[in-house]
Amino acid sequence: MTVRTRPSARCRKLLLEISRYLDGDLTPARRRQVEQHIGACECCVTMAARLRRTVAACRVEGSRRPPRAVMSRAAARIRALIAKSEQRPRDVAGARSARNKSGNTAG
Amino acid sequence: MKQNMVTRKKSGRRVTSAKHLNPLEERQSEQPVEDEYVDLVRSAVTGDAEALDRLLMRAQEVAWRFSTSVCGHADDAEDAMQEALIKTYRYVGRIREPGAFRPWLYRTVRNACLMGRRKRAGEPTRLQSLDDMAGSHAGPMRIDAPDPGKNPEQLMNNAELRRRLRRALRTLPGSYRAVVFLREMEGLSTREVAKVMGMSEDNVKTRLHRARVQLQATINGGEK
Repeated sequence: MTVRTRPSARCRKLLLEISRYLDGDLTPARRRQVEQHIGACECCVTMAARLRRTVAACRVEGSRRPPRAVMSRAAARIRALIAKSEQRPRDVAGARSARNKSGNTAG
Repeated sequence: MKQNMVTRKKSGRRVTSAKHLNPLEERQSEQPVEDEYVDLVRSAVTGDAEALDRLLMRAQEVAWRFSTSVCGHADDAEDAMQEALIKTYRYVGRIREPGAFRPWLYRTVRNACLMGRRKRAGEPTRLQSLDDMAGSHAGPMRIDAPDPGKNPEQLMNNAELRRRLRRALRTLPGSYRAVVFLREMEGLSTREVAKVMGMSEDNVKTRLHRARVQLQATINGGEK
C-alpha cells in the first residue's frame, strides 16, 4: 500500500481520532467531522486502512497456539497435578468433586 | 465437544477481514466478545472432568501466549504455565461467578509473568524475538496448513505482515503491549482489560489507540 500524499500535521494528529472512530468511541458530532475529513483526504483513508489492517493482524496473531512440544508438557503437567491431588485430595479444593464424580480422564 | 469449542473460539473473536479496508464502509465497535470460558467453567464446577482438563489446558495456553507476546522470555513461559495451572485448579472449586473467571485468569497470568520478570531483575532487559522462540523449543513447531482460499502472494504478504507486527510489538512500552495483547489478540472487553491491568477504562482506551498508531507506523515504516 502506498501513501500518495505526505501526511500533514493535521492528519497525523487525527490518527488517534481515527482509531477511536474505528472503535465507535467518538461522539456523533465528532464522528461526523472525522468522516467528513476522511471522505476528502486520501492520506487519512490510507492511514485508516493501515490501522484496520494492523488490528486485523493482531487478531490473527492472537490465534497463535503453542508448539506441540509445549502442549505436550502442558498435558503432562495436568496429569501430574491430578495424580498428585488424588493422592492428597485435601490439598486441592478446586477440582476434587469433578474428579470424584467423573473419574480420571486426564491425558 | 472439543471441535465445537474450537469453532466457537474462532467465531467468538471479532475477526476483521482484510478486504474491508475502506474506513467508511465499516466501523468497529465494542462488541462484547462471547466468553468462551463460561460454559467450560460451569461444566468443570459441576463435575465434568473433560471440561476441567480443557480449562486447565486453556489456562496454560493463555499463560504461554501472554509470556511470549508480552513478557518475551521463553523460559518464563513454562513457569507462568505451571503457575496458571496450579492456581486455576485450586480456584475452580471456589468459583461463584463463571463470567469473572476470564479476567481472573489473565490477572493471574500477568502476575505470574511479572514475578518471573522480577526474578530476572538483575539481568539486562531484552525482549526475545517471537521468531527466535519458535526455534528454541524442543520438538517440531506447529505448522499451519495453507488456507486454500488464499493465493501464494496473499499468504506471503500475511506472513510478512505478521513478522512486522511481531517486531513492532517489541518496540511498544510494556503496558501498551499488554493492552494490545488483551484487547486485540485475546478479545477481552475494555472493562475486562481495565480489571486485569488495574487501570481505568479511559486509560485502557488511550493506551490502545496510541499503541495502534505506533504499531501501524512501525509496521509500515519500510513502505515507500
